[in-house]
Amino acid sequence: MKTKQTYNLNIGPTHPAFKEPVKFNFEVDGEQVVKADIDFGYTHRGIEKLAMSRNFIEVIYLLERVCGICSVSHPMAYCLAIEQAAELEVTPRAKYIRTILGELERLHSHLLWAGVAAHEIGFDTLWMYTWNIRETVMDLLEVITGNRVNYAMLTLGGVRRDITDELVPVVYEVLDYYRSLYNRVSEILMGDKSVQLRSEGVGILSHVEAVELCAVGPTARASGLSRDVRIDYPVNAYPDMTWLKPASPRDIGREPVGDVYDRIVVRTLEILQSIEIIEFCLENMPEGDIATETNSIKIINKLKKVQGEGIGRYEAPRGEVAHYDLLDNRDGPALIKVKAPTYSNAPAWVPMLSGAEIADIPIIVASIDPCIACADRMSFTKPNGDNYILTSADLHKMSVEKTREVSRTCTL
Amino acid sequence: MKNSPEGVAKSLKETFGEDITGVRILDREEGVHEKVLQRGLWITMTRRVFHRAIQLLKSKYGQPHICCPMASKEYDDGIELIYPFTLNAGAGYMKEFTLTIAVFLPMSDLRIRTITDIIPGILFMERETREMLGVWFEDIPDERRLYTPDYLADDNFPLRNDFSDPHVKEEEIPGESK
Repeated sequence: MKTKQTYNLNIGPTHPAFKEPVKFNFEVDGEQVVKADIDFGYTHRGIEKLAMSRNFIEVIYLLERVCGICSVSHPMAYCLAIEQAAELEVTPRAKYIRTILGELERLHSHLLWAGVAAHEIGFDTLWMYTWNIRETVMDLLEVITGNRVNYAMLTLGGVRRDITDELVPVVYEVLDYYRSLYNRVSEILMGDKSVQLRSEGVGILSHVEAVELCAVGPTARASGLSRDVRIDYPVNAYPDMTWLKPASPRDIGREPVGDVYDRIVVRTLEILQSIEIIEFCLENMPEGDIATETNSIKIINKLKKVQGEGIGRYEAPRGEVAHYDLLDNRDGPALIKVKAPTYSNAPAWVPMLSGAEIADIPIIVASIDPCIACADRMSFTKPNGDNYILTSADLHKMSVEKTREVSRTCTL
Repeated sequence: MKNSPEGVAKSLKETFGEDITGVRILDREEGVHEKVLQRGLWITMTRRVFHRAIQLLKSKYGQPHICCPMASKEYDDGIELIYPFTLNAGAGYMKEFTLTIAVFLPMSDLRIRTITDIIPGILFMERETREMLGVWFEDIPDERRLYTPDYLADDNFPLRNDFSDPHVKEEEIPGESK
């Protein structure tokens, strides 16, 4: 009797589909994944330990380096945790500026992701298009903060730079630009037949699995969860936006199934949502100071007298970022624990990838918008010990060929 | 009331009595034009009821969401594990509140039962806590390291206060005094 033989397939720890090194071990039957396993630890930088040797202000700017894309979100969660533990007040104007910065970050992050996802399925025109229009929001961030990434805008009790009256029309101009493009962008991302064929029914994460695995952000919302820290546990200016609802595929009349397409839908809808939030903030921005205290030494001296703990939670573009901070009469935090959204969403790869085709691995992995880096090869290992290598170009080629194949079969 | 911090604290206290060793409710006002109250429940409990408490929370209030990696406070005689959960995640505007549970483990017996059977999403955090702090999670379905390299000895725990990496050698920088 002929027995069914499966193969072990390793991808990573470095691969073009990943933005940070991570290794996947797949058991495959022909072109189909039977079982998936993830191996982390190739890029652990020890930032939590390092933060424990710095003062409260220095840590803000260290934590921006946890993730270049989420360089508002991590310091935000940290500041919220410290402010909670020490009962520090944040000025009303700073709350609105923080919200605007966070939403500009979401805007550029979702456009970045759209480009990455498009590239993974061989739709390089869309990749170039989204990354080209993303430049405008990056330029705006540079005008407001002085930097394209790692903005150094937050401080404990407020922000470090104002959005002045002169800057407001510049922000509106950028928002108008994105509003004018939104229909075109959403039509391509949600309506293009080849995008649909490569993403519908692919990489499914069911509602139950998303709840059990504590998935967050667009990944959770695409599986039908109405989970969004901006609504469930709002901070900054979000409590003022009682009209805000978590984005859902239901908004376009589609019942969420938790596939890659639903994740595309949620992120696309959130581009428009971010524009609306920023407009709301500009219209309702309170006057006043941008920070309760601008002297860093005074802030540190005040925090040195505090013993306590706090948890800061913020909805980053990829999902919930949370920080736990412990204060213990020191000039810096006695303990910091950091959670990035990928930490929550990575376990969801296992059910998403089980049963998937090899050619779908790049788009499924990219669909949670992971924070993982590039690489160059993957290898198949046969049970008898023989290896053969597929280069990154091979894997990408397989994905592109699949797009072409399904495009040929679709009737436009 | 049932799904409020007060209701959860009362329910745990009624069920587990003196094994619930501390209850704090911390509220913080947020918002500018619209004022809302962010609510947080901090509970300390003994190790022996921890697993049953999580089971009770799940059956009564729905799956707790683990919002942050497990943290810890290290003392001379033991480690206090901190589990940051939230309840009512996704239930609607301002319905969610944080539930932080602290459990003390003596240094001579750093063991606690896994809760991956109740909350599968906590697996990575238990694996990380085991390798970083040396806490053993009984019945954990995956005992492998998550982040630390294989060369690190089994009794080296990087997030312990006394940890120093044997592979890192301090070098004196010319012109700089220590």
